Amino acid sequence: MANSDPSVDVFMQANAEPKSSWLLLVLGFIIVLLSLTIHSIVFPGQNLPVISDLETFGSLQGQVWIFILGMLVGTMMILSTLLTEVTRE
Amino acid sequence: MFMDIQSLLIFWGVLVGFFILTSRGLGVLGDVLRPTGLFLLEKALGPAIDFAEGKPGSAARAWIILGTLWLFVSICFTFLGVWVGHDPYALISLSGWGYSPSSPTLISAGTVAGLYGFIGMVIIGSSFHVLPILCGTPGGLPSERNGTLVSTPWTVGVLILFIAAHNPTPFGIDITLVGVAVMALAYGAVLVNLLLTLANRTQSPKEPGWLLILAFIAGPASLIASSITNGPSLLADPWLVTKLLAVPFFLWSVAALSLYSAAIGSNSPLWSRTLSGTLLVGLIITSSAYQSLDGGLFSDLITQVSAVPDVSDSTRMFGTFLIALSLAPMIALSANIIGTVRAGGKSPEITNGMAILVTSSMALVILWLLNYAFRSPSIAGLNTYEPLLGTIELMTLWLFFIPMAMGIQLHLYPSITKRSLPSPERTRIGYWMFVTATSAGLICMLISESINISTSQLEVEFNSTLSDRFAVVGSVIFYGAVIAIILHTVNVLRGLFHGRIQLESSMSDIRKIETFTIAESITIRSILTAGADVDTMLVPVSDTEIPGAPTEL
Repeated sequence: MANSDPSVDVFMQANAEPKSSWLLLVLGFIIVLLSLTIHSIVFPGQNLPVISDLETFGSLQGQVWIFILGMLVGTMMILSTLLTEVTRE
Repeated sequence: MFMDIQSLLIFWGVLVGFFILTSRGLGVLGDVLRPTGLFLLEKALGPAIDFAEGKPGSAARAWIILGTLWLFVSICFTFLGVWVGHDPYALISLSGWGYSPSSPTLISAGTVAGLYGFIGMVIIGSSFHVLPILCGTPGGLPSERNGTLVSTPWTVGVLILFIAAHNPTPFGIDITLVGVAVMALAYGAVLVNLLLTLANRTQSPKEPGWLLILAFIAGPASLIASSITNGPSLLADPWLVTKLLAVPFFLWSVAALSLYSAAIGSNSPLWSRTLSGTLLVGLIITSSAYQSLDGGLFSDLITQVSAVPDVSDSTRMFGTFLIALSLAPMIALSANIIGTVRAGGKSPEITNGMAILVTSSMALVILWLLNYAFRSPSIAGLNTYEPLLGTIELMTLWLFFIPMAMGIQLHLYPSITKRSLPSPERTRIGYWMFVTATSAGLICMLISESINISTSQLEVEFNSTLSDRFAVVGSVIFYGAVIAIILHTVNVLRGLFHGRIQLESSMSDIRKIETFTIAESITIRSILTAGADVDTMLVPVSDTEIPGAPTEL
């Protein structure tokens, strides 16, 4: 019979959960990544539907868009915090 | 249109008259006005008032939380404005959606959101919390529900001004005036609420209390003074906003609230009463002249639709004299805050806003000198440094006004929301990022513009990219402020739900007993039980004029 360390029972139990806002963010990121991957496999070399037709995304140039992406992530963080916290039971 | 000497004299007269009337009381008239004011705030609004929450502190909380959201909008648009300043075609892709803003447009929109959205809302929310404490008003704010409700029209007003900064006539009508009118309506309700707080006081307002209430009165007083000297046409002009919500509203109230926060947050009494007095009198006399020359921070918002009227030579001379004199109250404010926070000999805490109050107090004097040095030629009619003034105004906003408001917000947050901020580490990172990004970023931009001016004045064919490089580096560093504000905003929002609940005793804004008289041998436990703390002065009975009276516990 193997010796069991009593602290294993104490420390090997997870009872906290990640924040819903982070779950939303990660889930959104994974969905976007999956969609892009599936699209590149199913329609290799083709433009993205709708999005690529938009002039804005078709001609994104300059480094400012990297910073704007950061702002959009920040906006998402604030919105997801608001939404998940307000609707939390 | 501007305040000339006559207007300034009337303005000061109105303020002195208000002070005397409120100190002496209005007698029977006051007894009539108080219930009338409360009726206007509560019943007169009909069913609309039922939409608002009436719990204690709900009004202050609504204002400071909405203000934080505006801060995020402000930093995003200011950053984009700064970037488009050196890369005019950076956002050209958005023209496909019909949006092609210029750098001044974006910076104006960011300034509207920062000034009227963040600073204005934090000032009003904090005043709702602080003034009843300073006045000892029983029950706190007279109408919490009205206080909460009017945050909506104010937000709508800021939103309209924000749109107007992009396009003042989107439907063929000037919406600037509409925005100002909506904000003026909300301001009226806020003012009545605060005046009722003052009217129901049980004590004379403690030290920064008068400065705070005069900051709110200064706008209407300025309107009265200008209407008497220039006629009522002012009320239909977009310049109204520079009268109603201008330097006195922002500077005086930020000064009063920062003094309050410094004293309570550091658990030390205000460092110098003389400096507090100098600040009160000095600001009232000198800084009201700021709007007599040009709107400064405010002029960019409305010059699109309204030309800045010229001022007479006598007004110019008098105003210049007062502006030079305004260094005294600025030093008084800066020294008093730093002296108070550092009184205990400890490093100021970052998490309760003391560090950012000290930082922006130090920046205040430097910014005043920068403003004075670069603005003086413009006052004299020379346009030598005109291109630099935009960046200096940005520095005034992002190195003094906004950090001060952030410090006040950080300090009052636990008292207002009854919860602490959930992540002190996020606050610390945000503080360092914000201070570094705004100071280093804006200094780089100032250097870039100085190089441009130097080369253009020398009229040499100097094809250098140094200025562009400084502009790019400055913009990239300034982006740190965007990240800092995101951290701050998320922290503030999460604190409403996840912040540790504060006990009433641990967040009391009222200092414990100042002195404790000892008549006989007594244990330290008994003294602490009586409400004393480490700052309470122990006075032996022989030093008092109470002849052998028992110790009052």
